[in-house]
Amino acid sequence: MREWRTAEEGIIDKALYLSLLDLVAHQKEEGGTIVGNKIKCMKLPFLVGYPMFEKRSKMFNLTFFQYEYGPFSKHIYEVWGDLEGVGCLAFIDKNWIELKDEGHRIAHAFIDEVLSRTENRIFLEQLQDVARKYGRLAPPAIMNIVYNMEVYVLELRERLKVRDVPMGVNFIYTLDDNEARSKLEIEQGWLETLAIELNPANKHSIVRAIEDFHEGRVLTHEEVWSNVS
Amino acid sequence: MYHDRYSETFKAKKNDPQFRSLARQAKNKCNLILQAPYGACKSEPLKYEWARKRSGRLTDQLRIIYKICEECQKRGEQESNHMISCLSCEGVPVKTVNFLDITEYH
Repeated sequence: MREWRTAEEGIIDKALYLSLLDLVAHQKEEGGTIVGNKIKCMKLPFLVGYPMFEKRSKMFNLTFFQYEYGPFSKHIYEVWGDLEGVGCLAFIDKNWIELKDEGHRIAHAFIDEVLSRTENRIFLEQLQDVARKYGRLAPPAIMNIVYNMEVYVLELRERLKVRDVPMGVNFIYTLDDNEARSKLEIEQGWLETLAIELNPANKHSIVRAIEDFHEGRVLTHEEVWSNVS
Repeated sequence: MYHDRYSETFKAKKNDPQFRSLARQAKNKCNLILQAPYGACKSEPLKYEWARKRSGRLTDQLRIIYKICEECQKRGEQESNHMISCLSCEGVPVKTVNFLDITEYH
């Protein structure tokens, strides 16, 4: 177990998080696109990830530790930054998260082609379960549920309510493959695609490259490699 | 051996200080791709809206993104999908690899 993620695990986390927000957004009666505030959107992946971590199922690779308002993951800030950068979500008043059409589209494709596969059904069901149970709840209600959850704290070797876990102590670590009893299966082509689609620098750069071809900014072998031996 | 074409973005990336030390390696990898574009450098067809493009490994952390005219034309989608089509296919040999970009894998 570890507190850091590989590049690949980071890619998977972004796709899973996007799928979770999509499923939560579909729970809204009026079909609204605002998923919740930052606190709610921080606790939802914890509600998905903790039971899976307890079962040693490798799904999210986010590490969570106790902070001011309960379980907190620095990785979620990276996820938010990237998903905002590629136009999948937007922050309203710096606190409320809105899932954009682009986010819905990618989430649907990922759910249909990756999470719906037989071997990944348990992971999809876990996301759906959390979306169904908590998707419509207001942030204070979710906070209350999380604070009253019982967790086994590895560092302290005891079971505690979340509210009683000391500041800075970890709830969830990233599992190594050999520690996992089950693992999300994603084909390499999808990982390569997500590395473009959910990375702002990559996505903008390739769109520019496509425009180069559309607009005739095309170079020959010599023009590119003449100065390389 | 396939023919090759490059985007200006690809050249700018190749010359970027971040990648400049890898220029020779990038040239070698592109040559490998030109010999076997469907299999070299652990080539992977991309999904979703990036379909009909491929990702090949430059290093563990870097990818070469490219498309093959042959693959694009076989699908017959070059007219309808703006993410695929070039300005024009006219005069471009079908066995051409179009190198789009060098990206980071994360």
